Amino acid sequence: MDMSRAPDLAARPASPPVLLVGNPNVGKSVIFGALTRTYVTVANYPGTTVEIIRGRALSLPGAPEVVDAPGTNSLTPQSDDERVARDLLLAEPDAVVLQIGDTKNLRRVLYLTAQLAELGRRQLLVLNLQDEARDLGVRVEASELERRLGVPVIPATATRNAGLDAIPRRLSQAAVAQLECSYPAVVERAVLDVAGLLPAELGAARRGLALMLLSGDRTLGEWAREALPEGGVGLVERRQAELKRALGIGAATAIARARHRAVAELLRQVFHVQKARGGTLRDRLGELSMHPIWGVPVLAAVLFLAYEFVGVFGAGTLVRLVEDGLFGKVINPAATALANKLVPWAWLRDLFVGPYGVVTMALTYAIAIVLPVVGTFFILFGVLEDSGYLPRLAVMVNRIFRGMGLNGKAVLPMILGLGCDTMATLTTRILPTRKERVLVTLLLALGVPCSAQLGVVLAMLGSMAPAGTLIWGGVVAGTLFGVGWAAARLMPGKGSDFLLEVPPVRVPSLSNILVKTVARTEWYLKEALPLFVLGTLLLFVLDVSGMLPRLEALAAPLVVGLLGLPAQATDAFLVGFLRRDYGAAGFFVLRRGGQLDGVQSVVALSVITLFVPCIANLFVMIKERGFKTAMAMVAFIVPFAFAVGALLNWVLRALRVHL
Amino acid sequence: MREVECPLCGKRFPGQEACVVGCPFAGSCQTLCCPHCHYRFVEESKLTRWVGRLLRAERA
Repeated sequence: MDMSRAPDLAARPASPPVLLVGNPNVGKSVIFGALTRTYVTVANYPGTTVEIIRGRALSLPGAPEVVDAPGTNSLTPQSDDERVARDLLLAEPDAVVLQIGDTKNLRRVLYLTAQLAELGRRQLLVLNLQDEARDLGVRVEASELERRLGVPVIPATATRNAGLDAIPRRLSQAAVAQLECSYPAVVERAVLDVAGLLPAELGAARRGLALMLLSGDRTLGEWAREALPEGGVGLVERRQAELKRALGIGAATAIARARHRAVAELLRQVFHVQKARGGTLRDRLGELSMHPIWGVPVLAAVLFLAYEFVGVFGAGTLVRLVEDGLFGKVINPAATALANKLVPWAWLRDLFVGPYGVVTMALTYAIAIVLPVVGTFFILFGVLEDSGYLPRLAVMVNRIFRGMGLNGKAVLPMILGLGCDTMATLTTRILPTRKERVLVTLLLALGVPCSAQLGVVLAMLGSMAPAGTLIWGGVVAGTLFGVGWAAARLMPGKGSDFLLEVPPVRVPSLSNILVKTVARTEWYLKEALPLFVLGTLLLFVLDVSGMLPRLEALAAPLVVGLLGLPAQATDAFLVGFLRRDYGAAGFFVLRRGGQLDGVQSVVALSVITLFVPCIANLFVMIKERGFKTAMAMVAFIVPFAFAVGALLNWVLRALRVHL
Repeated sequence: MREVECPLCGKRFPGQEACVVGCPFAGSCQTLCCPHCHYRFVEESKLTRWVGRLLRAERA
């Protein structure tokens, strides 16, 4: 992907490039934006899907090229992103490193500084997020840190453009940080041996590279085979084994411990935290909602509120008002009268006001049935966001995910999927490996209901015994866990940690929630309404051409035979391919018309929840994961959804369950 | 520069600098992505800004 808008970017400037390096989520991109304004190019790093952003920093002396490296916690990579950040450093030996750090997490910042120093890299250190550090009572003595490290230390709050003006002034003072780690003597001897084998042109970087090799960095394997003379790789392996024997622990652990000791010593001199006073009721509630045991009743209470507010109030009271009142008594009769008066052809009248009419079906479903339900759900979602519960739910789910063996970072797309699966699929880019991105895309498409669908599902569940909710929830959660667990076993490996700063618990602001609800409702109408109309037109054409009864007959062995649903449910499944919530709305209408009993409702909802969310989501799946992978997922999901529904129908009938 | 607050992690960032990607079925319906935690949410539109102003005026 190349989004170049600056014609002169191809020519490399005379000044050495500036490489932005730092831990993830510390505001590097904001600083990159401030330095480069809008003149950027975005391209995948060779051989990876990791995007690298480059730009020209016109505000810096010599207008050097600026490269925004992916966030990394260590130069011993654990993910594709971290490997690319390390490779960029090695590929640009003359670049000045602009290290961006989160002031609150100085320990992580300095660990990276120690590794940069070992590579002999000239650097500046920007301590960003000063405002948040102050709010938390964190104080860093920047001048003392600068004196001890011997590199410019620049306190900043990039989002407010505070402190960034010091970067151009101090760029020429970049130096190698004096943060020496005391490694055991045996490690130092091994470092000397290995560094001595590395090419002399690597200069000061040889010490850092020797430490990386002794740490057993496998991502350097190919490079090491080329850089080391014959027998060099064998010598590294022998030294590793000797260190393990001498120290009783692996070389990587010994090296990391020495770095942590050096960082801790420096922290004692420059990092101070003012202890907060005793927690308030809100703080205690926040803690409870993340607790592995007490968090569960809190979650149950939230779900109960959702059920009452969306399922009972939204789907009952509001839908009755809008569907029976506004549409049933005003809009649909007026549209029918108008069509009868103005349109002489019966088929054209039917296109607007017939059983598959744009007004009587598409608009009625989208505005009279789904909108009141998703509107109430959006209000609830806004309250969850604004109160700070959503990030706490993410922390809870993270614990469950870790139990499944999944990467903690997968939590965010899964939580986001409850809002919109399409957005969530885009967010899978944050996952470090392709395998994880594929797995989470699959889980999202398979079993995470989006806000619109969840609203309609809650609406239907609100009309039956609570056991119906438990069965539907059990089927969907069980499927997610089962597929997730199996997939995690198929792709073993160490998952990376999920780092999310949890904001304080807040009393939601009414105006905030209203604005968010308006934004989401507008977004829903823009995205859903055209697809509702398209789905209705599809059904209309199938009906007029006489294909619909034939399709229903064709699908009868599956829909009627295996799933135990009425033949009309085929219509809902057909539009369900466009949007799951449209399909669910079809079942909602059948349920209200008395054509679905409790068991049939739960079976239908389970199948439609396990469908691919919508056609927009399918397009994003193709864009993000490629055509073949996306099609393979669809080929798995659709038969799997029907198979689960058939099994559920068989079990519930066999157990003579009544809902 | 217009600042927005991430609904998930609560951090503020300049809206123009966040990654903006639209749904393939609604070109004008953009979403913003928080550079701190990567949470995505719907960008404000003219309508929501108008509602926001109205609510602020009501409170004042």
